[in-house]
Amino acid sequence: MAEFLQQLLNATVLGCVYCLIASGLTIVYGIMKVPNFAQGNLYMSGAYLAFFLASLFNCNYWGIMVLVALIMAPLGIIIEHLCFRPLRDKPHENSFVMALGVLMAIEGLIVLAFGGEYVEVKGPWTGILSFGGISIAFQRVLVVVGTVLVLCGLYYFLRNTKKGMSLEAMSQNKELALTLGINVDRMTMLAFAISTGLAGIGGVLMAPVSAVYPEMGMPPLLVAFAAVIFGGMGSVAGAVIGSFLMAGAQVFSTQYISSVASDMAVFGLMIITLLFRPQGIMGGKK
Amino acid sequence: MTGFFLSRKLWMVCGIAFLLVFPLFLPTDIKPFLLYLASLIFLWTMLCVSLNLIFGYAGQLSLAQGGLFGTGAYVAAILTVHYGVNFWLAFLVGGFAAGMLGLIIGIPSLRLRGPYFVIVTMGFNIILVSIIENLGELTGGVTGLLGIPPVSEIGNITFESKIKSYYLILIILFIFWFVVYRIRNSRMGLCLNALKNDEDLCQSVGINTMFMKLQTFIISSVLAGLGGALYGSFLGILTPRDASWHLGFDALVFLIVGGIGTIPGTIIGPAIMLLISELAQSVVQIGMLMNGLILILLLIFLPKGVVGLFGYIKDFLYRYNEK
Repeated sequence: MAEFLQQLLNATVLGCVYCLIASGLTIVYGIMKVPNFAQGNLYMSGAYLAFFLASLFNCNYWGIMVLVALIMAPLGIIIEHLCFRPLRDKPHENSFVMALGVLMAIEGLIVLAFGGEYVEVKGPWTGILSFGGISIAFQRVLVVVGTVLVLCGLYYFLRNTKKGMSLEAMSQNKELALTLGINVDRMTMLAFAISTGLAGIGGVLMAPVSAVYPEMGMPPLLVAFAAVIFGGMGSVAGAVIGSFLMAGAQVFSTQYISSVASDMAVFGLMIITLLFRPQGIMGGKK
Repeated sequence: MTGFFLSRKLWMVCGIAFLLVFPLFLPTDIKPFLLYLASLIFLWTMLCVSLNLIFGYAGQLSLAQGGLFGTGAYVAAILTVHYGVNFWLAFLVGGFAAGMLGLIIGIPSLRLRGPYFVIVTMGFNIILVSIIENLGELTGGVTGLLGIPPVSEIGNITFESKIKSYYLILIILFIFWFVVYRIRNSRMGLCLNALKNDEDLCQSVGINTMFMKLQTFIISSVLAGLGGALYGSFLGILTPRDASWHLGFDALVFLIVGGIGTIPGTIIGPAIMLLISELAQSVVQIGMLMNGLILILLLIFLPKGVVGLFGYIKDFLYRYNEK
């Protein structure tokens, strides 16, 4: 039983990371209909940025988190302006390829700046919490708390503010949103800023407990895609549910079957979703 | 006169002639290196041809091409290394295996459109790599498969010298091009063009788009697998990286540099990019950044690649002549 609870806890922590990546993906997809392949690498650059800022100023972890979010959000706007905006009226495939180009450029930039080695980021608390046969590092508790706070903020923003509701409206029907006087350009920028900010925060949260290296963004990216597809592309709630489900599938299949099964489980769920309910569990009409 | 110099046929004949006679006029000191590089370019071209068929002609961006290439390479290499099968048989089996894998990947994933297809093919490729890494003895796991024998002889022609293997790879590449050229100019090619532009419309005039896409995907998988089989025996060593989706990714960059949806683009792209990366070898770390930036800049300013640039020059010259 303790083992099961321990795995459940691990899955929760992992699910939180996937949530932060997947909700960014789904917001951008809802607005632009582009799967942003660079999202995983934005998460990775959040972790590296934390490493860089920690070595530069001796400021504390919270300061770094705020700084990273403040740097990443404008970065998202820059990426959107330079890379995706010129392709808006071109065939859709070009935007996918562009996302791949951005992915490569970010990874290349990080390798150039920090080298391909692993780096270490120190968290604010290093202890381990243990009770009743299960144990968890303080930083992981922090990951869960941080994610929950961020997601609550995001929920409030999307449901209760005018900007957030415009964002939702746009992801449901772009033309209609346009006729209602919503500034589509500005909303696209906002969507990108939110999604890169979320990825950056995810990176900072995970940096102390996971290995930080240039390819760290790829494995969570694929799982986040699977989660977004499961939940329905464009739906934030679906992405959150999907993330926890995928994390659970991954952790438990690794524990009880084998490590190879973890990729299979995630991917199998994604394929099954696509075959039987292509719009995902929370997606509306296709 | 301009018409003659700008005609497509003339350029094609010149290009083929150049590829055929190019090894004969090389200075001896750098000859082995240049032949090696040229052969490598041709092998990459094969991967680009396969991606060009499925993405350039049918409009389906598959990121599984690297995995299919790697499947062909691994199947052929396992057969020759562990079971001592003749290379040419292993080569064909490699292509067949990639085709079968293409069928397995294609049936579920080709039902999907746009971004879903891209993600699912990428996912299949990641699964494939993790399978290869975990097959242990058979594939050599993470360390890879060593000592793959070179291409075996046909009759009494051996392919041990660099120049012979150059011609062998070139001839196989010509066959690839010919196949794709014939597809392009057949009824199927026209259907693919229609499919790329509007799938629903294509369906409405009675074309079985799913079957058409599946057919194309299998052919492109077989091409990738055959190219991979040659690639494995050319390098003599395979690691799981040779089956990763990065390969398909690089091929995509090459294809966009060369010009998507064109036959000359499939060789111009790899040639330019591999030459650049050879020249920039001292700063190998910038490879990824450079590829990314080239991709971004080309998509914004020159989405049709180098071949497209020739098109612009041609238009300009025609207009200049008319004045």
